[in-house]
Amino acid sequence: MSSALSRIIRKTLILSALAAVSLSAQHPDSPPLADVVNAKYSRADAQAIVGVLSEAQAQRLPMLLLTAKVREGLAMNADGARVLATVRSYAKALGDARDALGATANPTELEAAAGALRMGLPAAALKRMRAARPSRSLSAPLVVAVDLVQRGVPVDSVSAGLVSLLGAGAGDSEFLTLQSQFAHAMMNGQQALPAYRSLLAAPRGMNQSVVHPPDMLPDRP
Amino acid sequence: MSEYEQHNPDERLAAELRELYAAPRAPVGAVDRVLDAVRGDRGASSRDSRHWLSAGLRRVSVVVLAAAAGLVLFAGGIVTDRLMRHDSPGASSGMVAAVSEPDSARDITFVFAAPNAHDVALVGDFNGWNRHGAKLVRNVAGDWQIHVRVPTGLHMYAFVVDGSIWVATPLAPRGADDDYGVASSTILVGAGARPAAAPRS
Repeated sequence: MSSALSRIIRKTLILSALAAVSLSAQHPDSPPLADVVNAKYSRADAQAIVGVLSEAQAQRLPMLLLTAKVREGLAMNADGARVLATVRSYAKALGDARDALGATANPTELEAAAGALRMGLPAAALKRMRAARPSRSLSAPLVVAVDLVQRGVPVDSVSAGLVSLLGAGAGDSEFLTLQSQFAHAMMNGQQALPAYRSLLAAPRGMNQSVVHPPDMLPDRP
Repeated sequence: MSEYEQHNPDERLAAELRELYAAPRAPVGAVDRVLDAVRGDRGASSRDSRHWLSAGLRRVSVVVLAAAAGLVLFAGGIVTDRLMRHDSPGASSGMVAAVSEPDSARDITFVFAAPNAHDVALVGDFNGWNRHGAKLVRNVAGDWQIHVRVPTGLHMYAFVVDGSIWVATPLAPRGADDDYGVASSTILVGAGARPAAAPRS
């Protein structure tokens, strides 16, 4: 077989595989992911990215999240190796998140949990959070956890504090308010850990004195 | 708070959100830190962008408005179900989500304050990170604004200023990853915490 023919076959296989894995996750306003990946990256990188996506699809991970991660890399002109590493890491985190939260976790929870894992929260912390809030979504608390870690609160302090809040029955509004007050504290130049501890130590209710929407999110199945 | 807002629970809630998130102003130092970080992240920015940074960014006094918008979107996502029940057209401030299609998407207004910018785009996972697809336009207050239909769920977003400078909102929840060297913000829209009635995969 000539090298040219071999190249054509390989290219066709890559395009077919990418089209297959991204067909159901295609953003309506975006060009086909397969076209873009194949045009921008080397054959080796494209094949490897396809491999990760295919494996994720076989594991029934949320494909839209993974293809969005590829598109993010494309939009930011990341090279193929970086996109590959990112997608691979993200797929692993999504799988770990599902293992920690259980098979009934919805994609939003998985996305938030994967982010938390990638920020260093241990899977055991996710399990404790799930145990503390077994019947309602953890999306909002996990988003807040990620923000806290991003702003400098040690992972252990974040997981312990949030598990404690969940155990006390805190609703999403309290987590949102905690995030807001903490972000303001950071903008005002306070140190992360003391500010976080101070907010946690405030009596419940103090952290929700301004905004207190009722907890309207429906229960998980 | 107006009399109407006092007697309308949804408007009262929206007003409370506006008071919480629209009021703050970042200390000058804090804004500078954000802008310095942007400058550092985008060292390879275009010449125009560097000019914008050096000459214009220090005069940006209300960048925090964008953060406020992000936070309201985050919280607004949680409360949109309540707004939805009354077919609210959205908050008068233009910063809280309006609702039209329960369980699938929300119409959200993104507001970004950058008076010296020439061009601002919204990018996020909800539009394929396409910097050419969602251009903001100036509103009557001089801020940059755009209405976008965002699927329910958790989303990452950022603003792209003058075609090359990616900016996350300082007060909004930060995204978990900056895999590609750029920070992003997070919004949890509407029924983002719903069970898997409408899986995104």
